[in-house]
Amino acid sequence: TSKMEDMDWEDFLNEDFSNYSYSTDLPPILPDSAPCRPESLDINKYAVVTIYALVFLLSLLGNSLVMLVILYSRVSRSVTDVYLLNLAMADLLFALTLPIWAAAKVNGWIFGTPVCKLVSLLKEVNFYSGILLLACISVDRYLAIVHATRTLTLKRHLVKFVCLGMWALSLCLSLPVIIFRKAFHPPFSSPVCYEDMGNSTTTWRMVLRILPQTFGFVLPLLVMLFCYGFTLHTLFKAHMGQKHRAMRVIFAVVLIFLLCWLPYHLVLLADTLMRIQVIKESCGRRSDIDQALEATEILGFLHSCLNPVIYAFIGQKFRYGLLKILATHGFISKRFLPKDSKPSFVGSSSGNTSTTV
Amino acid sequence: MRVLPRGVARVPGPSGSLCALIALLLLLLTPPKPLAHAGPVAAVVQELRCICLKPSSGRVHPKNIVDVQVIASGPQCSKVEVIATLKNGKELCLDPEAPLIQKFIQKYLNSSGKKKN
Repeated sequence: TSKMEDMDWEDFLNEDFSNYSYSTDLPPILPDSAPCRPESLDINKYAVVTIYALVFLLSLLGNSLVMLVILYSRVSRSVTDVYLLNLAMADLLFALTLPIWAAAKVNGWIFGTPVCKLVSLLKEVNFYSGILLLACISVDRYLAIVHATRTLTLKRHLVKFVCLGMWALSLCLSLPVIIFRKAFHPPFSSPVCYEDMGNSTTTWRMVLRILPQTFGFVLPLLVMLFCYGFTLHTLFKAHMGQKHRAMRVIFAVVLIFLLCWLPYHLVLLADTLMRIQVIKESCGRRSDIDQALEATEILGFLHSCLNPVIYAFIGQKFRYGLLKILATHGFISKRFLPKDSKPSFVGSSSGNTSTTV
Repeated sequence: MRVLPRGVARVPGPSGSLCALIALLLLLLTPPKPLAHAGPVAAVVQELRCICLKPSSGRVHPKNIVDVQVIASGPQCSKVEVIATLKNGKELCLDPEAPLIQKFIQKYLNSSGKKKN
């Protein structure tokens, strides 16, 4: 084959280049003109796969337990509990796709287009519904504490519809990714599960990134800051230390969400800025951004198993609810049930401001 | 000369389909050959990007070029990319818009076509 190539090249030289007056010196190669091929990342693939496997198991176990405890506590279930139930459901669905993401880390996307679309759908819907539900919880806390009695009776039966609406909105926001994702084999890399809009893919991907960054991050974050800001203000003004304690779990949930997803969104923003040439593009910087995307995405995936851990360590009601279920079914002796620490509906006057976790 | 096609043959736009056609034709005519720089296993990537950051602005005498690869545009890059391997083993991105490069691609297609017949 190389013979044919050489021959053609030689023919071409002899026929066409006698007229051209180029310098025959080898040109200096500027770093920008050298090809920058995709490289395998430095991060150890098998370490990543191990992390994914642990997250998968922990998420499956933790979120199932959370759903179990909330579903069992029919009597004391609050509005926030319903949101947390949906949050656990979203995390559980996402965790089911983790083995596939792990396999794709090692070999590239070998599962074809249908699996690519399905798994991407679960990932996107989980991401959006996760943060939208957190924003809903903040609105619920705000209404319950700042505007105490007025709205309480109205929203208890509305919560189902709000949840359904959030799932529907998440689905809508995920649609572009689902429609355009495909499994294909780009030059110099393993097969990928990636958006394919032909030659304009790069441009459209940048435009479509506005969706997760606005609806999946900035907007819910602003809602949370507004709601929790006013809620805290009210709590401190009324010197209700007890109520403040009830908010600890919710604050931890929001904080962990931020710690897990903020780095990824910042790197994504850096990548967008580089692609639209606000930041100068270089081969080294590309590789740095790719590594950072890889690492911060692991952090984001990790989030799907962390909420149950927060409940277990900070939420007294969750611990109590879980022990009660275990005791009822004879897995543990009733002696283990804490006698005095059956949590009162912490600092609540209406019963609606407490949560099962 | 090697031409790497994109995995998906559907490319919208007239120039895109021309490139895909060129890529496809050349793929049929050129048996695959191991990629010198791809390493033993193709990289598992997170983001798709163009391979060339910026085509070389200086001109290269063809005598210094031993091999040329043409990569069709696709989801990874909106432009056709041309990578030349120089005599000293270094690689350089060439401007696919340059008349000379376009002429070469045309020439190659024609001569390959003749050989096939």
